[in-house]
Amino acid sequence: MAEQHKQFPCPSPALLESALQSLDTSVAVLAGPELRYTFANAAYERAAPVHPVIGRTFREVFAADAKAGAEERLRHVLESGEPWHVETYQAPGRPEPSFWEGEVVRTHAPGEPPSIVILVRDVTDRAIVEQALVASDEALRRANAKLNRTLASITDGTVVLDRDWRYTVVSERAAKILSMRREQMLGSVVWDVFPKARGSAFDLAAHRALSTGEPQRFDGYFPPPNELWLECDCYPTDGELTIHFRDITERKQSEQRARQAIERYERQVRLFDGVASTTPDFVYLFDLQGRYLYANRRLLDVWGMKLTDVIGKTPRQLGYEPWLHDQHLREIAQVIASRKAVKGEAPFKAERTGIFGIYEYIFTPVLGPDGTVEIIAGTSRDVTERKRAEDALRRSEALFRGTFENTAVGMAHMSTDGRWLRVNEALCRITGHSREALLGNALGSITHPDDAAEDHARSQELLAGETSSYSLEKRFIRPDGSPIWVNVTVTLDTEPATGGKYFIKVVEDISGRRAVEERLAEALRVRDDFLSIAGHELKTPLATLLLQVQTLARTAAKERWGARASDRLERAAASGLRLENLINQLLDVSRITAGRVQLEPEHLRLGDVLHTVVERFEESAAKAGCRLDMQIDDELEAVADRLRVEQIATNLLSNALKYGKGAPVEIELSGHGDTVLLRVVDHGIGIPPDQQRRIFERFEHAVATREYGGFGLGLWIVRQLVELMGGTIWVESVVGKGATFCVELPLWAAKVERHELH
Amino acid sequence: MSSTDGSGCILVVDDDDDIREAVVEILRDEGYAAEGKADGASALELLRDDDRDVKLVLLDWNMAPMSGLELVQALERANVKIPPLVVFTADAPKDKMARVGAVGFLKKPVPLDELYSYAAAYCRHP
Repeated sequence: MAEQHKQFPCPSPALLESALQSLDTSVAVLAGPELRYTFANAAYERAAPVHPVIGRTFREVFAADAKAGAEERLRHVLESGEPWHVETYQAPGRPEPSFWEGEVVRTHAPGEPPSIVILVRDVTDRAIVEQALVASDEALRRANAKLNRTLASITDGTVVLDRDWRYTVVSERAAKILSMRREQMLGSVVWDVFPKARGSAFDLAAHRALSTGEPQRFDGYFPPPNELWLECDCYPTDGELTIHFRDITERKQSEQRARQAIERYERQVRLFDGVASTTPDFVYLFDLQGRYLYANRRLLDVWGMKLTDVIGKTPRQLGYEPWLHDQHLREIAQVIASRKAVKGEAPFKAERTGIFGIYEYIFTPVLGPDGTVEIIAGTSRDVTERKRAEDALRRSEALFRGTFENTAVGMAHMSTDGRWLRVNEALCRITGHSREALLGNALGSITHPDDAAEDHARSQELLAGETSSYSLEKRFIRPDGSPIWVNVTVTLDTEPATGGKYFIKVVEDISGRRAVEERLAEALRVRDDFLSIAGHELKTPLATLLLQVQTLARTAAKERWGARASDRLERAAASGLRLENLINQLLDVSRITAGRVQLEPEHLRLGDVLHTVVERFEESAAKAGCRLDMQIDDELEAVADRLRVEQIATNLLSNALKYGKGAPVEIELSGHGDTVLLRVVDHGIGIPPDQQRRIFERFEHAVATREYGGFGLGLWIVRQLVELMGGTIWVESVVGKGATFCVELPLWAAKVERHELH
Repeated sequence: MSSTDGSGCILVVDDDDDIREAVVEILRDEGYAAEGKADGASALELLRDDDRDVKLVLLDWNMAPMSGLELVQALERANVKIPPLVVFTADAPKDKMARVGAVGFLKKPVPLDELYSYAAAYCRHP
């Protein structure tokens, strides 16, 4: 090189310096052991943190580098003359990474202290790339290592099939998975080795891979001899098929087990749901945080939600009002803490459906094996109706109390052993006893002793179920000892709650009515007494009169007083007899009204009785111009009161002659099984239909009284007597054609019973 | 009047003066020995008298103070022989009359014919 230099003129120092200055490489000269800059080009100046560098020592310019050992390396070059090949020197203490490379050499010009020349280039960009490269190499290396480890651990088997479905490659792993030897497989056609693979999922996927050119993944069960679940990836390549496969039997089995477990669980849930939903109640489960785990269908219907909507939700989230939500959470906490069931009742309105109800609920702890609460089971019952019924009952009880208290009649509940259980104000007023005295039951019975026996007997009948109620007029004894007449109506009732029986007594004060009745009875008694006394009083002088007249008539006949006297005496006697008859009627009326008629039944031949009666009428019939036709069954016998039968026949015959207008009168007597029928038929004026019932009433005539006379008592008395004998009487008549009176009497015409007569 | 002739007499017991006197009069008119008593006590006294030969008693059932029935019971107690009885009655039940051993009864106002029949049956006609 030196030789070549000599061939050319030497460049001037200014030229050299200018060239140095324009270099992209940073160049500096440092002199002396203190390493003071004697030269630095522009590039060096740009890179230096302190300017100008010339005149400054290295340490002054690059303090951090000097400290980091660069100064020492430079001094070593200076002292030893060994160049420093700077390879990617990273400048320390820079805000950005800064890399340099270059040379540091010693120059020693004669007469000058030894210097070093630094020639360095900024290689920061390259160095960063290189560093990244190194890092990525490292990552790659690590990835490779991992890949290798993975590959080493991989359980896939690999086979390759050619166009003819022959095995060309069979990995060891593949042979092992398939429980075959590689030699058996290599060169063989897959369908020969595994005949059952035809039509299998493998067949399908392999053909699809070949036909589409797309890799196919599938899994399927490989039947014996494999008995495996395999997951296969088929990669078609140039008509060949590479198949990677792995044994997933275990995974499949655990999946299946899991599926079965889930199915079992779901079946149990369905079963539980089915059972829980058959009840009309709500059934639900809470977890320990008060979130629903389950709700039966009935509850879901009310909520208007599906089970999936509610699982994991709190009552609040399902639209429960905050207070109810809080209440439930408190109760759940209580169940968890106490491990005991908690009961409650609350109104609830479902947000979605608007269904409202009052529910009675119970939260029950479900304990786990360790005895702690695992979940909380709840049931709720709709008690709205019951509540309404209870309300209605309360209202009706209030109403009843009101009615009971405010009614004007006395009311009481009495136990079956005669204790007052409840009495109202009116009863106290009627009896004169205070409520306390009555309810204290220390008074004993306040029923009049004369009435107690009947009251007791009737109440026993009621208790025995022989009657459903009874009414009784009886007397209570007031505190002052005076009796008060009451009408007591008694029914038996059953206490719904206990089933115990008690009497309900309604007590009416009838003292006023009773007094009126007594006055009326007294008036009637006075009247009847009057009738009776008057009758008797009239009868006695009449009897005397008749005796005298009859005796006189007899004497007149005997002593021949003459026809005129006899005739007048006869007529006087007849008038007396008619008067007697009327008096007897009045007496009969009073006896019948007083119920004092006593029948005297005897064994009779009815025909004889009728003949006797008819004989008495022969004279008057002849006078009236009436023929008496008799059709009498003389064999008929009966047990009856002779006088009363005579009276009936006499009355009817007398009427027939009276109203018979001189036409024949028929008297018929016939037997009909247990009864006899007496018919008295006239052909006289007859009785209009509207009168036919009235003639049997007291003081009734079918015709004007003046023309025919009499009290109009005859038919009434006849009817009363007939009925007293257990018989019936009726009339059949056509006006102007006559009347037929029919009397039907039982053969045993004894007095059937003593009954009220009208 | 003719009690001593052995034909015996008819006793009429009735507290009603008119009836009693009328009946006694009628019987006497017919020739019977008849005597009237207005009450049970005097009738009892007469019947105790053995000298009086009473053949028939016409007895009113309804008397006061001693009724016909009570008179019969008093006679029984006094151990007095009771002549045949015919009872005057307005309405007294026949079974009661049977109990006192009456031979018949006459319904007031006394039917004359029956009265004559009873008198003739138990008393020798004069």
